[in-house]
Amino acid sequence: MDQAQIEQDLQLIKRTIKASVRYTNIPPLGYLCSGIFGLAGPALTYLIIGADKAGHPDLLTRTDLLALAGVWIGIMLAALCSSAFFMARRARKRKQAAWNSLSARIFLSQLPVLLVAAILTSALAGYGLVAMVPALWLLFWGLILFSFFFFTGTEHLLQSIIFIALGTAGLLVPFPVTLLLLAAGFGLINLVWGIAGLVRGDAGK
Amino acid sequence: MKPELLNPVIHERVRLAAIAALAARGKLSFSELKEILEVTDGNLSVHTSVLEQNGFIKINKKFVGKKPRTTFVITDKGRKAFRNYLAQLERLLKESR
Repeated sequence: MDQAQIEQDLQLIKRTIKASVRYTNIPPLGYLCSGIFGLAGPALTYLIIGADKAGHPDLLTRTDLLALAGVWIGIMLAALCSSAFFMARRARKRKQAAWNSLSARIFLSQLPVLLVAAILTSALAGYGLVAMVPALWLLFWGLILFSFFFFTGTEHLLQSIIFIALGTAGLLVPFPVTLLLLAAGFGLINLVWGIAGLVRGDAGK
Repeated sequence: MKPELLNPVIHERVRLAAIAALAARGKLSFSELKEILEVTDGNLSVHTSVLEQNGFIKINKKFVGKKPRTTFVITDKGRKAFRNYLAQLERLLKESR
């Protein structure tokens, strides 16, 4: 067994381990649905609070905040459920379990981040700093996507960079613009990835 | 160290890849492992049987509804054999340089 053969064996092991921890189970239709809900969220927010309060988020009342919390919890659940539905459907087609040790590890590793984001959102809303919430969400989602990158591939790294850039921009612009950034992040990016997946023909795979 | 001393069960491309994937994930379904290794059903069955006969993996077969589902789980013996194999490869690589 010469050096080249040993290196080939080691390369095979490295490639296989990398492939076995790669999680590419989010189907294009899941992305598309999340994108649609991601666009609906900012639109509903604007409709609920109106142009005046969008320009002056410090005028938002407790009732407005509760209504917004309801909308966004609904949006999050709808996006999550639709993605889970399409993931389960794809897994069934492939005769795989959608919920396996890897998906559990990915999901559980992100729970603390989601919890911290929820705590910070409540705190900011409590201190009347609602205008910062969209940027906070974009930044946190960027962090989550960065962690996904270690399980998936470079596409999540790219998404992560875009979300962090949008979040950073969101800290510097007025509230109505942060809603547009939110729509660009959770709406357009997911739609673009969904369409790209459909064009690549990932839906049937 | 002589290359002949490498574990002959693991020293085969498909079986090496299979045990590497299982060392990383612990447990994989038949279709997951097949997708990772890019092999045919028959090929995967043959090689995983060899690994099972040597006590490196466990093959669990059960029915989900009416469909059979096969899963592979790496054993402690399998993990140890894989770690030893890696160490031996590294030693051989050092010696060959």
